[in-house]
Amino acid sequence: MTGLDSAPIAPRALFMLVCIGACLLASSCAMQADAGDMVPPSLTVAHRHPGTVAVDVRGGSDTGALDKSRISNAAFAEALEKSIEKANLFSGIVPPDRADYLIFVMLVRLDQPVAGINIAVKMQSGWTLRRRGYDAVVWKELIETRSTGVGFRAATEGAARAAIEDALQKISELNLSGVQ
Amino acid sequence: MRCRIYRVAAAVAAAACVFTAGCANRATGSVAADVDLSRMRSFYVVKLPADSRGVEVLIRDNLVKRGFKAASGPEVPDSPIEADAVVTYADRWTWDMTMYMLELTITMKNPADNFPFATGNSYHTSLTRKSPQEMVDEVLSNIFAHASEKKAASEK
Repeated sequence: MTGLDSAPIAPRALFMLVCIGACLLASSCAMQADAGDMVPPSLTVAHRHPGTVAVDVRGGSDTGALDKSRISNAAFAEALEKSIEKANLFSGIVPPDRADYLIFVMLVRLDQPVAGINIAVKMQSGWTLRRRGYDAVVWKELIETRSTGVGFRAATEGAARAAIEDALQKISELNLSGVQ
Repeated sequence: MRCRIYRVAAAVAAAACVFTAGCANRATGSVAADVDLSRMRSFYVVKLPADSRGVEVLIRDNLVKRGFKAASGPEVPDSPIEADAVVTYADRWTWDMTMYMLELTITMKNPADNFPFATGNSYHTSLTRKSPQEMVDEVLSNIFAHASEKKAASEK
């Protein structure tokens, strides 16, 4: 007879729940990164730009039923738009054909471990800011961020949040008034 | 009796989780809006210093098979690359009875500034594993398919 055999029902049920929870975590049955959780809680901007902006995100992927938590283009775009609005970085967010500026983000790489509980995620994203009607790029930068969290979703959202924070901080430091 | 049921349930739950984790797969490809991949003719695949499996050769050969001019070799920081695009990759391998390629990300960059304009990723766990050649083909097919869709949409 093992210790488990002699244990009362409640600890056994708890043990079962822990086992199933650990299996679910280990088997990467994760949820899609959430737009709201990718918005930085506080953003310090150097300048607020008077023009309107549109956002275009590519390179993301939906999270499959058995996949690790991924970032979809739509969720990242939504998080970026919410962050811009929250920081009042531009005067408004409008469709690309009416925007003064376009922020294009290419989600290049999302490095996640195979399994684990305390997860470290590394993300690489290419950011480009263009002014409407001009081919010249105002600003572009490859941003690498990393985040550690409990579970794939938290760590992935953390890396995305850090990328948005870093990029918007840098965009806010630009002097766009002289850009033609 | 009750304990045996718990044990069986735990075993079934663990087996189900392990089994389903072995089935995960993903394949994506994206190209920047302002880039026309159909106008590219030559590629230079940068070998990862840590890669001893020759993945850069597989990528180069796949590009050649698609009709492009492609070369591969180490990154040469101070010399300009004579190609329309630089190709880099990140491969991850894991073991399940045998070693297999778990994940492959291929990124295409502008040789002038090394800035990425296209990326593709494939992820296949053990039960849906593919050979390295198939992984390379899947990622590049997704990148070029995305470019073709974009071109067709812009011509409408």
